[in-house]
Amino acid sequence: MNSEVHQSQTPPLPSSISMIRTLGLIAMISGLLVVLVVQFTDPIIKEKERLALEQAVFRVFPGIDRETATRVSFLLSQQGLIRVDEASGSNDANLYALYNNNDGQLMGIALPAAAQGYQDVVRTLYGYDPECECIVGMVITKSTDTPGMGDKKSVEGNGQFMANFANLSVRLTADHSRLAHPIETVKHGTKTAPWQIDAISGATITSRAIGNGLNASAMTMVPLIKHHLNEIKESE
Amino acid sequence: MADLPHKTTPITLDTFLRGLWKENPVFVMLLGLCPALAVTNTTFNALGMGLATLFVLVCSSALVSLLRDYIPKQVRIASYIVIIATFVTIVDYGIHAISLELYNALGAFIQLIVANCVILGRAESYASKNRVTKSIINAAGMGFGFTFALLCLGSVREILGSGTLLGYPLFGESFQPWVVMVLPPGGFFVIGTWLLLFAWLKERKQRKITRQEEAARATG
Amino acid sequence: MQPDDLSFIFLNAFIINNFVLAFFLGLCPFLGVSAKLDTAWNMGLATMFVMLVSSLCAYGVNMLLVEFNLEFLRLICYIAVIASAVQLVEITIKKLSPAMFRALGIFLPLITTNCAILGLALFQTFKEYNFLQCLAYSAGAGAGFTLALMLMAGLRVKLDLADVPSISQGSAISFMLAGILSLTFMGFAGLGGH
Repeated sequence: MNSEVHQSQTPPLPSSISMIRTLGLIAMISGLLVVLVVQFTDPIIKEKERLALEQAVFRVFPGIDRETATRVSFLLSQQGLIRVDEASGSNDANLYALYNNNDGQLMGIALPAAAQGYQDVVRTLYGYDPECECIVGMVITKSTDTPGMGDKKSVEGNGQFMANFANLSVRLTADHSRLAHPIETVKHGTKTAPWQIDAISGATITSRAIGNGLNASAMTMVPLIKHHLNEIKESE
Repeated sequence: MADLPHKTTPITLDTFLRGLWKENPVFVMLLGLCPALAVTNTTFNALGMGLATLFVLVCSSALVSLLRDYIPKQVRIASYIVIIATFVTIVDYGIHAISLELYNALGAFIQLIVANCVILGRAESYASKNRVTKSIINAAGMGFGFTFALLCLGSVREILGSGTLLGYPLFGESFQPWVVMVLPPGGFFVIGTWLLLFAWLKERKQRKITRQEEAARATG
Repeated sequence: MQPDDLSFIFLNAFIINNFVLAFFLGLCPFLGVSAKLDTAWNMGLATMFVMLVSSLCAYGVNMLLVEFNLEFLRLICYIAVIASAVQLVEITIKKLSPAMFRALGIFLPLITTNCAILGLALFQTFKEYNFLQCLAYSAGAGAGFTLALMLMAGLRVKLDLADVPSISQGSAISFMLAGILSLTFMGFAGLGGH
């Protein structure tokens, strides 16, 4: 009697072979499905991401579009300048250069930046002009800060704030080793110098995050670019 | 009423409708709350999340039901989880390929569909015991119920929080949006209010029934 | 503070972006076991422990997957790793401390379906944290989960004595409370922005 109750409560263990077979079958089905989908969607995703990045790069430079310029990606570090081929799936580029389609002249350099904002990291892309040693444009690529105040739409819609980045000085010291003045974010309405950013009133932390990101990136990248400028110019 | 085994009961409209209303996964069973609250700050995101979950629910239910006689009891949870994770991966890549914007808005929450207890619950309690078509219909009901609940949350939060619906402005320029509604606290407040509303409706119905019963007793 | 500092990562997961109150992760146990203070504390501890273990496992698995270019299998591997990590933790605790096992035992299977664990593994991958950063992040997330659970339990103990309208009893009032809690936590936002 007792053993019978025991029997009905725990049915005999099926052989481990059958368990392994089932799990193997399921793993095979799932592997097949996943691989098929990945194979199919991968080129589409790559293309979409490339387009999104390209759009952002061209948005940084108003007046330049795909008709007039070509984008080339690079990885610039202390080790030197490496051209990145995005078709091969690599996405560790940190410098995007635009070249004129007609004469191959360097038209501008776009650089990514990031810093902690109100909620999460605020990511931006900014344009650097080596001729005037200034930042000539900035777009937000990701911001989850307060909607209606510090998110992408409201920051980019704020003409007064965006005007800060039309001509923001990142001049180097005479020996080209560092920025003459670090980029500063100041309270709304107190901008006095060309290297200062006039913050959005009500979204000071987001403004400061954008400024901090730009400053951190410019401090390392601008001297490096200066160093490798001829290489970049001739890389077309 | 005798508890008939599921296999003999026919497919009725109730198989589908149950998940939509009476056993609504979010409002009644309080399952799958984390995706329901985290991504419903706009109606569009809510719709995307709902449909993604619907797809995973239907596909995994179908496959679980198809394999129900071959999966030994001891390894069933592991099998279900692998099946669900497979379809979630497929949805993840699918959304990434269809709309980059939606993919960025939903972020890691697409992959977190795996941990949505609604799906594992369906696989364990329904799909493993029923025919394929019936499981699919039931899962679709649950999925639409989930989408419906997400839309309830998402539309309220978007209307109050940004003054828009699906991106179209509803109010004039003078409208000052309640920003808190699109922020995390708003999610808690909105679902709390919906639950209050449903509890009130239920209580009203209950009171009506008791009153009728009392009236019947009085006359009888 | 820079976003990559260990202290900032800890603080970020602990209070600024609290897993429960800002990302809504792990809401099921949050509402399920927050009725009493001591159960909430035990559940928090168990979750913290599993978070640490599974975060480190996920870090290792991700390194392997990246090495072999198999990122598309990440989700399937993570969920398997978490399920095994919970089992492992269960066996270890049972062996090492039967008293602790009795206290935590019933919560451990619950943790497998806790989306906060999977969320932690996914977020740390998306943020591309290194080993130490993962450690700080998971410790912060676990501590934040425990904190939210304890606060909620404290509120609900008080709530039991309060006279609320009959329709708002149960989950509706709990959500409202969680909303207020989440609102207060928003005050911590912007901590690292200076």
